[in-house]
Amino acid sequence: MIQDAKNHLETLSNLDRIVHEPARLMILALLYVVEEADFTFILRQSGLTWGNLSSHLTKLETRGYVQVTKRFVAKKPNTVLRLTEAGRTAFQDYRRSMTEILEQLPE
Amino acid sequence: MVANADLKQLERKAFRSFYQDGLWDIYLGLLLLGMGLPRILDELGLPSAPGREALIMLPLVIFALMLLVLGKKWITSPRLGYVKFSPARKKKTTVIGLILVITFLLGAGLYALVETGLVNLGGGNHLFLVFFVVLSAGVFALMAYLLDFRRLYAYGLLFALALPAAKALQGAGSAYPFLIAYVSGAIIMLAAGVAALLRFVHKYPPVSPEAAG
Repeated sequence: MIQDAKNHLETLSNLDRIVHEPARLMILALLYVVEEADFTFILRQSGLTWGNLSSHLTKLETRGYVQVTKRFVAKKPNTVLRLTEAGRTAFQDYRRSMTEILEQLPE
Repeated sequence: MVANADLKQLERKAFRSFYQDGLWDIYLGLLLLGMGLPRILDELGLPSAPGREALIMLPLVIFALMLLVLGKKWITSPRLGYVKFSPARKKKTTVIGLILVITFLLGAGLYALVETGLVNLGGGNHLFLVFFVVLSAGVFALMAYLLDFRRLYAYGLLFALALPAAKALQGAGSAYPFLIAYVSGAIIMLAAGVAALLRFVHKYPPVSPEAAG
């Protein structure tokens, strides 16, 4: 019993903090269900502010979870975002861990 | 399992947001109006001339299509952003495209048969009318289901019932059966479309290029 509780706490403490943050989790979830999207699309769907989204994306890009591509569409700058393999795996691992933790919690 | 359902829901919500701009509603409203136009012109007493229907219908259909395409390009995309959906979603869209082409050909053929008098709906030949209703309602229902675009169920009924309603009104002695049946259906769609477009424009103000980039 004590060992079980210890394992749960260990799983909780091993959660990827980059993914665990709600705003970043939302960004990753959105990018997980599409092939790619631009900054505006994620901004609209997530409801985050421009600055907030930008700072979270920087963290996700630095960690190698999101690929950011700058391009021009009709002479206007456009930022395209795509989940990397590492990002996809991190998101799947996080989902698995959270499901396990929540399922094992007593009623 | 719950997590899977939530992700599906998230993808659906993102996909559905592209139909909240009201442009499809306006397009379909104009299309319904175009379908009833030849008979409406007769009812309004406009003199018959060769190619009259085509001369009026074609610009209307082209205008509706331009409104949809340019509206998506200039209103929806800059406000909602760019997204490439999953291959599964793309497959669904291709299936819908095929269904639309086949239905258009079937529907246009059937409509031409009725309009040219080769099939007489008033002569007890109700089979074609039933086929028309089932085809319209069925295709719209299928599209509504595949696209998660719920208003299409109602629009399917408006398309399907326009012709039988006009025939019923004609039978009841109305002076403008096609005008009433088709224009009222078109007005419902156009009003819903304009309302949705205004809501969309208000909800999603334009994003400056600097902010988007």
